[in-house]
Amino acid sequence: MKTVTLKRGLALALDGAPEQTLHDGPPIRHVAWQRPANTLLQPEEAVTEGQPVRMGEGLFRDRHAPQVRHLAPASGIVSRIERDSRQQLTAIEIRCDASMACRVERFAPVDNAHQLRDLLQRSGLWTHLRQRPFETTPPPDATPAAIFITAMDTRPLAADPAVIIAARATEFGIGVDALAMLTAGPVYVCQEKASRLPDRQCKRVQVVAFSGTHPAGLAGVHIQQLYPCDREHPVWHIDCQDVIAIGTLLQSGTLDFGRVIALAGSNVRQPRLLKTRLGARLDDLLAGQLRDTKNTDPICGSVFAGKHRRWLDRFDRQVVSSGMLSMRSGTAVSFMSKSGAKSGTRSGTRSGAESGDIQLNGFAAEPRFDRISALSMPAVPLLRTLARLDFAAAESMGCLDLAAEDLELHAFVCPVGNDYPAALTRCHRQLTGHP
Amino acid sequence: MNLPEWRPGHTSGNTPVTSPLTSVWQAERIALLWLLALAPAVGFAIWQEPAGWLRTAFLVALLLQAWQLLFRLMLPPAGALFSIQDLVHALLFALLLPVDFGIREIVFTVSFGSVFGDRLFGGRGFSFLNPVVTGMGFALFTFSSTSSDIPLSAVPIAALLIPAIVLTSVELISIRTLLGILASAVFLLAGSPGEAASWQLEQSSTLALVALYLVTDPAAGGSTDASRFAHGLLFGVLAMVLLHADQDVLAAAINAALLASLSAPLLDHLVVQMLAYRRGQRLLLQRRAVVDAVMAAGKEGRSPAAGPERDQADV
Repeated sequence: MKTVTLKRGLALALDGAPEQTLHDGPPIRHVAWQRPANTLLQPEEAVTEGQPVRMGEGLFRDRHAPQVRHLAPASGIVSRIERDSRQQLTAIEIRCDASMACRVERFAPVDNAHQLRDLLQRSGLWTHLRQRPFETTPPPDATPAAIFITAMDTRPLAADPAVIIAARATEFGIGVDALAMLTAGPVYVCQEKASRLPDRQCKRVQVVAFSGTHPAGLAGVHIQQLYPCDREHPVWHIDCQDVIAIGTLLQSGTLDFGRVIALAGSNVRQPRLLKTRLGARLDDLLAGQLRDTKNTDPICGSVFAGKHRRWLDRFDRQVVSSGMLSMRSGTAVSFMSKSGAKSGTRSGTRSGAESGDIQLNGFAAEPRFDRISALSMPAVPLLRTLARLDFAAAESMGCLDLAAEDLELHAFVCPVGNDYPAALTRCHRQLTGHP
Repeated sequence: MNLPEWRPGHTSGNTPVTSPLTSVWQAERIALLWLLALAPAVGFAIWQEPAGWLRTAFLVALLLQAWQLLFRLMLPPAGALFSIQDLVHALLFALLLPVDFGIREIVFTVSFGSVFGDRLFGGRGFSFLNPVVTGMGFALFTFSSTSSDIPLSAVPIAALLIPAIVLTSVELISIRTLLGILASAVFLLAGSPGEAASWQLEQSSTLALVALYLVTDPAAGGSTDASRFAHGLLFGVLAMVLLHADQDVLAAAINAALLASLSAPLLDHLVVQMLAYRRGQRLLLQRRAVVDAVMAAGKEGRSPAAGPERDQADV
C-alpha cells in the first residue's frame, strides 16, 4: 500500500469531538431534495405542493440531462417547494409519512460500464459524483481519467469514515469495484494511515494512505498528490458513504438514503455519530440534542466555512453546534461570539463574495501560509494569482485540481481576512467562460 | 469535452456564514509582534541618544499618521485611522535615518517612502517594496552629499538575536531568507577574515538591522521556499559587492535590500515557472499512461472502459 506523508497542515483540538460509535438518529419528519451546486439544471414537470410522493419516485425531469433522475428521499406529501429570485427550483421538502409504501423498484444487476452508468443515473446516485476541474456534477456522458474515493476525513470534529466503512465493508467493496468500471485510469481509495482497507482484486484500484493533519483528508490534496487533472482529463471524486450506497444498490437492488453524520461541538449533549438520512431537516435532527437551543446557530459542514442550512446537503458529513465556542489550551485559535464573528472583516468579505464582488484586503505573504498548505504548489504565489485575477497563471499552477473547500484553511489563517475560496470560485467561473 | 455551464447553485435558506473560529493571526496582532521584536533595538537607541532619537521617532510617526489620514480621506475606505504597522515603520525609519538629517530631509524621506512604497499602491500587501527601504533608498540617492550616513544609534548584534528567534519561530519571517543572508556572509567573509574584524559596531549593526527587519519583510521578499533563500543570498552578495565598491555601510545595505526586493518577483516567477513546467510534464506522462493502457487493452481485444460509446466493456 502506498503511503503519502504530509508534513504541513493545521491541527485544531476543539471541544465536543464526537464519540466514534454509530448511534440511531432521532426520527426525521421532513426531508428535502436540494439543488446541487455548480450544476446546470432545468427542471420541468416537477411535483406540486400537496402532492403525495413515494420514496424513489422522480421529483422532476431535468431538461438538460433527462437520463439523470432526481428522486424523492422519503415517502410523504410535498410540503414546500422553494425557488430563488430567478424562479429557479432550489428545494423540495417532503413531510414524511411512514404509512406510505416505498416505490418498489428493484434495479437489475449490471454487467458492464454502460449499464452501471445507466443505473447510477436512474437511481440519482450520479449526482453524488463530483468532477474536477470546477467541482460540478459530471455530464451524463463524461468519462473520468481517474476516480478518487475519499475514505478519510481530517476536518476538526469530523466522523471517522473507517468506523462507517467497517460496519458495511461488503457494500463498500462492491461499490469500489463497480466504480472501477467507469474509468480506464486508476481508482484511488484514499484513507488514513492507521485504518487498513482490504486490497482490491482489480489492479487499477489502489489503496493509498495519507498521514498528516488537516487538510490531508481533502480530495483536492489527494488529486494534486496522485493524479492532477486538466480540462481534457477530468477526475471524479466521491465520498465513501456514497460508494456504500452504490454498493447497496448493486447488491440488493434497493436505494439507500441513509447517511451517517458527526453531530459535534461543545453545545451538543452527546457528541457522536448519528445514522440519519439524506436531506434530513436540521430541526428534526437536532431535537433534544443541544444544551442551549436559544443562543446557537448550528452549521453544516466544516468548522472553517460551514453554512447555516435548514436541511442537510447531500455532501454534508458533520453538523457542529458550538454556541459560545470554547477553546482548548494550546491551539492557535480564538473564538468569538457569533455576533462578533459576523461583524468581523472575514464575514464582510464572505457576504461580498455571494454578490460576486470580492474585496481583497491587501495580500499577506507570511511563511505561515506554507506551513498549513498541503498543496503541491507553493501557496503564496497561487493565492497571489487568485487575488490579482491572473487566471491563466492560476490554471498553470494547478487551480483546476482544487475546489473552494481546499482553500478554507488559507482563508482561516489569512491575517487580513481574504476570502480565498470565493476568489477561487470566481477564477473557475472565469475559466469556464461563463461569467 | 464540453464544459458544463457554471451556475451558482445556492440552495434557498442556506445563508453562507463565516467560520465560528477566528484565527489569532490578525493583521494588527502581527504588527504588534513586530513592534515587540523591535524593542531591543529601540531600547538601545533610546539609551544612547534619548532626546534626539525620540524626537526623530516622534516626527516620523506623526508624518506617517498624517499620510495615513490624508489617503483615508482621499480614497475611502483605505484602512484604519491608526495602524500599528505605521508605528513599526516609524521606529525602523528612526533607527536608520542618518544622524545629521534635518527636518526637511526627514520629511522628504519619510513621505517618499510612505507614498511611493506603500500608499499609492493601496497599502501594505499591495506593493512589493518595503516603505522604509524605498524611503531610505530615495534619501541616500538624493541627500548623499549632505549626510554622513551614520545612523543615530548602534545596536549590538546580540540584541537582535532574540527578536530573530521569535520572529522565525512564529513564522512571521522566513528562516530561509535569514539562512540565505548568513550563507552569503559566511561565504564572502571566508575569503577575507580581516575585513569583518575591522568593522565598527555601527557597520555590523546597520547591516544586521536592515537584514533582520527589512530584507525579511514577507511583503517585499520571495514567496516560495527557494526564492526566499535566493532573495536572502542575493541581498548578502549585493551588500558585499557594494561595500567593496566603497559605498558606506548604510547605503550598501539599503541599496542591496532595494535591488533584492526588486528582483524578488523575478525569483518567484522563475521558481513558479519551473514548478508549472514539472506539473505539465507530469500531466503529459499521465496522458501517455492512459493512451498506453487503452492501446494495450485494444490489442487484447477488449476495452477497459467506460464511456457510453464503449458498450461491451469488460467488467
